[in-house]
Parts: sequence; C-alpha cells; structure tokens
Amino acid sequence: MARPATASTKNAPGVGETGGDAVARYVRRLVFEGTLTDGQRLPQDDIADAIGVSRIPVREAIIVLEREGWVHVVPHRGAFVNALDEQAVLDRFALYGRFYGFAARRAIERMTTHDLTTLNVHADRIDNAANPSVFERANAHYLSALVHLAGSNRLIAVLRSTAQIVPGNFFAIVPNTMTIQKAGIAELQVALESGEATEATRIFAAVEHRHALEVIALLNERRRSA
Amino acid sequence: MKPKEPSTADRSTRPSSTGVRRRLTRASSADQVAAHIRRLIVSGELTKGDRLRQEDIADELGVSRIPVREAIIALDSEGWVTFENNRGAYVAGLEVDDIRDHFELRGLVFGLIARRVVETATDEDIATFDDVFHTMMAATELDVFTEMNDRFIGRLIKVANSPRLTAALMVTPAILPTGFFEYVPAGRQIQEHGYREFVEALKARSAEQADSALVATLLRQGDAVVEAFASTGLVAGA
Repeated sequence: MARPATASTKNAPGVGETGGDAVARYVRRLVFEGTLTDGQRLPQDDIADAIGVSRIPVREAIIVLEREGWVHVVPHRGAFVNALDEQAVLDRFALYGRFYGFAARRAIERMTTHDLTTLNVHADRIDNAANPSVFERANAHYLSALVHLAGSNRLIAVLRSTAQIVPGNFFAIVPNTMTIQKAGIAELQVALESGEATEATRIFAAVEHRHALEVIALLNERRRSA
Repeated sequence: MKPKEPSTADRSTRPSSTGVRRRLTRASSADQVAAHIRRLIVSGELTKGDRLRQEDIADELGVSRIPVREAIIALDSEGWVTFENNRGAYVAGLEVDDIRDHFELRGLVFGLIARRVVETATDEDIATFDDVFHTMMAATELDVFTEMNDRFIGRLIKVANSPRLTAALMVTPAILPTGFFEYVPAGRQIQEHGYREFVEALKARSAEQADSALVATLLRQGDAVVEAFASTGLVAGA
C-alpha cells in the first residue's frame, strides 16, 4: 500500500482522545475506505507517522481493533486486516441485532410504565426527525435509554466492542437506513408496550439484517465505481 | 502465581491438534496477564473498585510493564476493568447477574457461529464433529473430556470462519479458561446434552436448531457456574 498520509491535524488525537484512540479511528477509516484490504499486514510504522505517535499507541490500538474484529494478530508476525466483505457485514449486524434483542428482553423484564413513557418520548423524536443528524442523535438517545433499562454491565461492554463498520453518521452515509430504523423502532415500541420479548428480539434481528443489506449494497457500489 | 511463559519448548512438546490449544500455548504474555487478572476478578479476589497497579502486577508475575499495560487495555475493551490514562485502572466488578449475562451473551455469539457452521460445513466436517462428540462422551478422564471440548469449540470457530464472530468471542471470553469442568461439575452433562443437540441439528442441516442448541447450552452453563460459586464459595485457588 502507498504510505498513509503524513501526520496531519485531521489524524492527530482529538480532545479527550488517546493516541491509541486516534490510531484505531484512523485504521477503521482506512479499512472502510478500502485503502487497507483483506489480509494486508498493518504498516505500524507508517500509521504511527501518520498520526504523529510512537509505536506503543499503535500496539495498544491493535488490541482494541482485534476485539472489534477489524484485524487479527499473528504472534511474532503482526496484525492483519480482516476482510470487510458481505459475510463480515452480515455477521456484524447479526451480532448487533442479537445484543440489542438481549437489551429489549431485559428492559421488558425490568421496566416500569414511567420508563416506557420516557422511551416513547425518545421514539417520537426519532419519528419526527427530518434530517440524518437530528435522527442520529434521537436514535442514540433511544438506544442508550433502552440499554440503560436493561441494566447489564456486560451488555454495555460487549456493545462497546461491537465496532461501527461505517465511520461517521451511519444514517447519513448509508441510504435507506433512516427509513428502516424509523419503521423498526415504531414496531419495537409496540412490542415493548405489550411486553412481547420474543417479538422485540425478532424485530431487532430483522432491522439489523436490513441495515446489513444496505451497507453491502453501498460497499458494492463503491467498489464498482472505484 | 506465575503464568507460564510461551517458550519454544512448550510449543514443541505440546503439538496439540486443536486450534484452541495451539492458540493458548502461543498466547502472548499480555494474553496471559489478562487471563490471570480475569481469573482474580471471577474468583472474587479482586472486587469492584480495586485499583490495579501495573508495577505490582508486573513484579508479581515476573514480566515487564508493557504486557501488563496491554493486558489492562484488553480488559478495558472487554469491560472487566475501567482504564483511564491519567487515573489508572480499576476493577469494574463482577456480580452474579454479570456472570449470567456474560454466559447468555457468549451464547448469542455461539448461536450465530452455529448458524454459519450449518451453512458451510462439509460432510467431512460433520463427521469430525460427530467423532469429537463421541470421544468426549466416552471420556473417563476429565482431561480428555476438556481437550475434546476445546477441540469441538476450535472446530466450530474454524468451520464458521468468521473473523467478526471470533472477535466477539474475545470480548465474551471463557472466564474459567482452564479447569472449568473441575469447578463446575454439572457443566459436563450440560455440555454433552448441548453438543448432542447441535450435532443432530447439524446432520439435519437445521441452522435454527443448531443455533438454539448452543444458545441454550451457554444459558445453562451460566446458571451452573452461579450455582457452583454459591455452593463452594468462589473459585478460590483457581
């Protein structure tokens, strides 16, 4: 691969970000954009130069990226990029669907009518959001309220490591996903109100699967035009 | 307690045929430090809010600071520890509900792995699962049983061939990587029952049943672990 861009303020660690965070953010983008591809060895020195850090934060970022599924480490040989192919996208969204299904089941077991009302307020904001940035915020609030209601520290940890495949605002970048999510959350609210855990689990799996198909279509589109 | 350094001798004298075992013996010292700390958390020797001092751990295990720092970053990304550069690392705590949740979440990942296995397994793969399962059932020694279990899991991961799902297992790791069936005797029957259902589903090429077999198995294991901890106290000395 060509050397990644030289250190620039765009790549440098942002406020509250460690060197490792900046490296991880940079590598995710390179993989998503197709600059780093399947099986390629991570050029750790080049990456360190591009961010303007030493090798140590690069090694630390690799630990996190491996747990997120972006790379795998071969002892004594380095870190290698995992393919961002159809299967990877399907698997990643299937995981997301299951983890959020878990959140919904737990939330149903624990939530009060007051909690449900709060969720409804968030759901209305999602429904009314007209542009992707307002929508993204409303959606994030809704999901974080749901995860909070589930009351599971292990779930939070697992979700944190289930990487965003698309860097930036998912709903702005991937066509049709806002419509899919709106319809899904509306359906989900009905299931939550009637306490139907199985139905809530099914809805999350279906919504995430639809998102996966849109991401795959986008990646294929990009590869064709590249 | 000193973790075994992954020496060359270690690798050559233990050329186990399971992918899992190979990975364990080749584990980096950071992985071994992480496994050590995870075990102290699971056994209750480290509890919520305890501070992890890198230099103390390095001294105790006879390793340098670098693998300790890397282990703490791994544990932070897995949620066992919270780590902020300027404030140090603290144990996030593990309660009974966390153990149940952990196994349930791990089960959800294994369920997806089961689906991929049903989609991609060749007849030869199916025969291998069947063989390993029967060797496991016939095992009189716990060591053999454990080795076959590792091999079964290694095959699941290999045949599923999904880096994303494998990564998700790293975030929901085996919390009793060695001696599981020693500490959780009821686990053996649960595992046998689950694998029997899985192999039957695989032969019938039913992704749905293979999925629910493994989801249910891990749920039961979670309950068994909680029960074992409740009756024996925590896994002190594990």
